[in-house]
Amino acid sequence: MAQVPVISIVDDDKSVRDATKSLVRSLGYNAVTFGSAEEFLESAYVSTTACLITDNQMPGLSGIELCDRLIADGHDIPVIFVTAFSNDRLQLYVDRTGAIGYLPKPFKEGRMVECIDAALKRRSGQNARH
Amino acid sequence: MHDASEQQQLLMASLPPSPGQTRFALSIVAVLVAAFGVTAFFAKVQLARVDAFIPAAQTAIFINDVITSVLLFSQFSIVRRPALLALASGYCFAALMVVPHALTFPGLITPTGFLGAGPQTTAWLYILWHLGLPLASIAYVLLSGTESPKFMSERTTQAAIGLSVNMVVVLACVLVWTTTVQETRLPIILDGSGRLTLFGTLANGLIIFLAAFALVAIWVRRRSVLDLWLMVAIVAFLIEMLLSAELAGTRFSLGYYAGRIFSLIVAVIVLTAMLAQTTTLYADLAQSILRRRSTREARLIAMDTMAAAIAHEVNQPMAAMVTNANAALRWLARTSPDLGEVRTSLERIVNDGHRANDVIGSIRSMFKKDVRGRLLLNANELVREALTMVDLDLRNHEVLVTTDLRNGLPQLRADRGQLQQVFLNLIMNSIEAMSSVTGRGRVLRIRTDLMQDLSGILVAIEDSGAGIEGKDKDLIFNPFFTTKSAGTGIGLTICRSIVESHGGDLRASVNKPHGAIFEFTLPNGEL
Repeated sequence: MAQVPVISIVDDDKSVRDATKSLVRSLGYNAVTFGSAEEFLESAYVSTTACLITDNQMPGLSGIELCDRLIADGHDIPVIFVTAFSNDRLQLYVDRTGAIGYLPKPFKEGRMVECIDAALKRRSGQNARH
Repeated sequence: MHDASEQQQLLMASLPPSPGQTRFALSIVAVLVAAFGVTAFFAKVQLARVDAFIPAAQTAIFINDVITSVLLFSQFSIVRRPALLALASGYCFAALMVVPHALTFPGLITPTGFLGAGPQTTAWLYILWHLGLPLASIAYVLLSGTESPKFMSERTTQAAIGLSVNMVVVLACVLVWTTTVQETRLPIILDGSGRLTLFGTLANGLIIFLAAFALVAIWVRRRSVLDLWLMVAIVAFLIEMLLSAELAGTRFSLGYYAGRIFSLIVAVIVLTAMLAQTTTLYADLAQSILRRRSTREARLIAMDTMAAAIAHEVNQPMAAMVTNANAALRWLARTSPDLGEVRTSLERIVNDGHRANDVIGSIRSMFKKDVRGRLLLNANELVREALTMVDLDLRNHEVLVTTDLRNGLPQLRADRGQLQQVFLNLIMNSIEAMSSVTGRGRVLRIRTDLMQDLSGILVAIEDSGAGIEGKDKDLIFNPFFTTKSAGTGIGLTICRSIVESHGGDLRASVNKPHGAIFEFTLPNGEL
């Protein structure tokens, strides 16, 4: 039986974090939440996460820095950025690293579902090749 | 640009001297008097005739007097005080008289003097030349009480300078003509042996009397750095007159040479003081411009940061609410709806709603609750302060400012910092609105007035910019609405909330023929 994918959510705002978790769970996935990028990097979920949804503007490491760290450590996790401040820099970053995309806060539910689908599709494609 | 009161404070003609400057001037006077004491003893000692001395000294005096005169004329064109015009004309006159005096000096160019001069010409020109400074100084003192007429525009100032220079030139020409062509008809000043006649002594005495009178008059009414150094110059002038006219006896005595050197000192003193002052003021000004620029930037940055922080603080609970609502819908849409999850989501939405309200409440209280910081303020002063702060922006965008500030307005009871934000924001908005304007003047007009029902005051900030389009008129006060490429759209919202928290009202309307008017009222704070 196929394992239920784990989606990790990183956001410094608890209410946003909990809301996103509830939405992800309602879609039928497992969701785990982290209050900061550091907390996520130290957890065991780094190697099992199928998709990462992260805020960009956070105290400590930003979403972009978190993504850089993951790439440097050899983890190829599809990333969805959520941000209150959309900017060109983030768009460039997404284009350059091949992240799934970025959504403005508050995000449209349909767009988030599309992004998660795309992330999991890419993830399963990778797993198939291994 | 705007009214010259601030500029005037920085000019030598209106700046009061510091204690250090007064001490320095006194020490110069002491040195001059000591030098006089020494030379007075040997004044009659006859020295060799050095022909080069006269043209060299006179040329230096001429150049100094011309520059001093030009500087004084230019200070007049800024300060527009008639007293300065008189003094500048005096220096101009002295400069013009130095030239024929040197040309007609016997033996320099022709044996009896150039320009058809007679034996008395040079002596007469000396007397007339030296009447210039005392008379101009007296005129300077008499006029120094008169303030510049309000109607004096830049053009009339230029005209006044032109007229003065022309009059001085004509006067100098007439005097030269009288003392050369008409020389034989004039009373004799120097007798055959080169000594002063009774008339000559009286004429010199008159000059000394006038100079002493000028000195006392300036002393009594002294106010500015210019007054201070003019007094020092007159002391040197008196010494020159005493040495060369009364004590020296004849030409080319030690007293005569010393007199010419003092004459040179007279010409140098005011000029040096003005140049030194200008340099110091320039440095001070550069400093204050830097300071002003940084305060303004600090204020505007604070505003932007605050706006961004507010946006972020409100955005977070909004995002959570939207996502929770979406999640709740999903839980309900399942084949077996999970009501427990739906309940949790709805409870979270309620909490997020309260949180958003708290954020907004705390912003509102920032402008509303703190009445303790409110002081009695003068609206016109706030306008001037704000204009000073945006001075550089106004210059950079070539915006012409006109103010129409009504006197005797009632005071406001208001938070100074908050009202400054309102003024700064509205003025900066106007400047930005005009930045794309070409082909017509960029005019910022600020008007203060009493409200019609006398219950408070009214401030209007009018620009000649792009104006407000009809559909935008109702939206501009909405938070985050902006027509600017780089704006948060929260400035006007905050302005309105500040004005309303002070019991006033902020409105926008269309200016004729171009631009926008932002008008706000504030209640009388004295009631």
